[in-house]
Amino acid sequence: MIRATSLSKSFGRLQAVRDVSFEVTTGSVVGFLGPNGAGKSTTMRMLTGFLSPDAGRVEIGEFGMAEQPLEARSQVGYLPENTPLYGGMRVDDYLEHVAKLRGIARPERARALGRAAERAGLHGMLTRRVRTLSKGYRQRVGLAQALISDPPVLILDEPTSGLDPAEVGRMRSLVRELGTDKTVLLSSHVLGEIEELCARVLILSGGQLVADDSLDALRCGQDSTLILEVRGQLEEVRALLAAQPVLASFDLGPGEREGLLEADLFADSGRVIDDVAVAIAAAVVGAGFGLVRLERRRRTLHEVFLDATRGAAEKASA
Amino acid sequence: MNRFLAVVRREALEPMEGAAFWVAGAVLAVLAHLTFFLVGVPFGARPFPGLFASGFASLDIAFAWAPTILAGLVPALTMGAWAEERRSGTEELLLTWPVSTLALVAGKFCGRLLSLVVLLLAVYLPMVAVVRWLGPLDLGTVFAASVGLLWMSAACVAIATLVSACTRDQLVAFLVSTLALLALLGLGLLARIAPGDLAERLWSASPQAHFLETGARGLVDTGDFVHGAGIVALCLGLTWVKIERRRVG
Repeated sequence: MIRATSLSKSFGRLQAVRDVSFEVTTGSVVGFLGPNGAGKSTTMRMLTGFLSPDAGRVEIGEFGMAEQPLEARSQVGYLPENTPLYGGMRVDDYLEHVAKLRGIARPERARALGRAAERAGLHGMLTRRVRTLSKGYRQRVGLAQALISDPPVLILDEPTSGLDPAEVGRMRSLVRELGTDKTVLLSSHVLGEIEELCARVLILSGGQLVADDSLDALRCGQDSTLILEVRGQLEEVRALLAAQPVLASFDLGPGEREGLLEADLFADSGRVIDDVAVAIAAAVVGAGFGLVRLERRRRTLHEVFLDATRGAAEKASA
Repeated sequence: MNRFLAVVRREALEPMEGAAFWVAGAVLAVLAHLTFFLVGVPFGARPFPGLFASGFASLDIAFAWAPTILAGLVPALTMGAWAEERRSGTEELLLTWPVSTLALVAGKFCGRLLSLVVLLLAVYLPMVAVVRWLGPLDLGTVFAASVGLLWMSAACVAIATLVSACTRDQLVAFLVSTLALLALLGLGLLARIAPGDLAERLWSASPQAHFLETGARGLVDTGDFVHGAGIVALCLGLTWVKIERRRVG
C-alpha cells in the first residue's frame, strides 16, 4: 500500500508538487499520468525516499518514510526513468550487489537472483557486461533489480519507453501479472498502455493532482451525452426526439451503417443520465422504431487527459 | 554490516573497471621506481641521491615522495566515487535502496582506500624486496612508516571523496582534489616563510609535520593518528551532510 498525504516539494522558486494526496491499495496497477514537467517524477522520487518532501507524508505499508526510511524503502522496488545502471558490471554481479544492499541473506541470494532474472527475461545475459546490452535488455536488468527482493510495492517510471513492440508487449504482461498481488504505480506517456493495464488513473498537472478515479468513471465523467442508433425515418425520429422533455438538444443524422440513424443526445441539465436513458429507450421502442444502440458517450483517455490537464493549465495561468 | 561490506567491495573494485586506475597505476609505478632508484630527493633540508648512488638500504626516498605521489594518485582513484553516480543517475537508485547514508559514505571511503592500498602494495612491495635483498633493511622502520602512510592515505581519500560528492563531473573532482592535496603540502612550505604563531599552526596542519618528519622516519606518533582521524571524520561528516542535503533537492 502507498499513501501520500499532502505532499509538496519546491526547487528554489519552482513549486514542483503541490499538496498531492492519494492512496494505492495492494493488488492494483494504478496509472500515473501528466504532461512533461507536471511533477510525476518528483512525486515518484518522494514515494521512493530519494527526495524528502517539504511538507506532507509518505507511507509505504505500515512504515512512514520520514520515521523509518530503511524499512519503508525496503518495501519498494523502483525503476527510474532511463534505467540508470552500473555499466561496467556484469549483470549477475550487479544483481548480486543489489541483493546484498537490499539485505537478502546469502542462502537466499542465488534463488532471489534466479527468480528476478527469470521474471525479467534475462536468460543467457547474466554474464554480459551491462554496458554491452541493448536498451531493451538494460530495461530488463532495471526491472530485475526492482524485483529482486520481491517487494510488495513497485514504482515504475516509464518502463516501456524506447522498447520495441515485442518487448513492450512482454513488459505489459509482466506488469499485469505483478499487479495481481502487488501495489504497482505505473507512469507512462502511452495512454493505450494505461488503458490496457490500469483500472485506476491519477493525473498530475502543474504539480497538482487533477484527477484520481477509476478509468471507467473518468471516461464517463460529468459528460451527460447519450449516443443513440435507431432504425427509422429521419423526420419521424427527429420529431420524436424533439418532443422529449428530458433532452436539452440533440444532433441527428444518417449513421455510418446503412439504414441506421445516429444521434448525440444532450440531457436536460439537472436530470440523472440513467433516467434520461430509460425515458428515451421507452419512447423509441414505444413509437415502433428499432432501437439498435443507446449508451453513454465515453470519452477516450486521451480526451480525459487533455481536459484534465487543460483545466489545470488554465487555472495556473489565471 | 553486510550492506556496508557490499558497498566497500563495490567501491574497491569500481576504479578497476575504468582506464584511469590502470593509467594511474602505471604512472605511479614508473614515478616511484624512477625517484627511488635514480632521482632520490634532490631538494629540501636533507637532499639525498637515488638508491643506486647512495647505496643505503633504506626506503626513505620512497616515503619522502609519498605525499606528492598521493596528491595525484588519490584523486584519480576517488574522483568517480560520488560524481559518477550523480552524472549517470545511478545515485537515484543507490539512495532508494535500504542502506543508510552513513553506510554508503563510510563504505565508499573504505572501498576507495582499499583499492589505493592494493595499488601501493603492488608498487612498493617489490621495492621492499629489492632493498632487503641488497642490504640490511630495518623492517620496524618500514612498518612504522607504512602505518604513517596509511593514516595520510586515509586523510587524502577522505578529502577527495568529499570533493567528489560536491560535483557531477569527474574531471572537476580530479582537478579540485589534486589542488586541495597539493595545497595541503604547500602548508608545510608556507610554514617556513610565515611569521611565528601562524607558522606553527600551518606546520601543525601539514602532512610534513604528521608524516614526513615522523612516520616517514619510522616514528609512530599518536598525534599523527589523531590528525589523520580528525581529517577523515571531518570530511566524511561533511560528505554525509552533502548527500543528505541531496534528498532535500
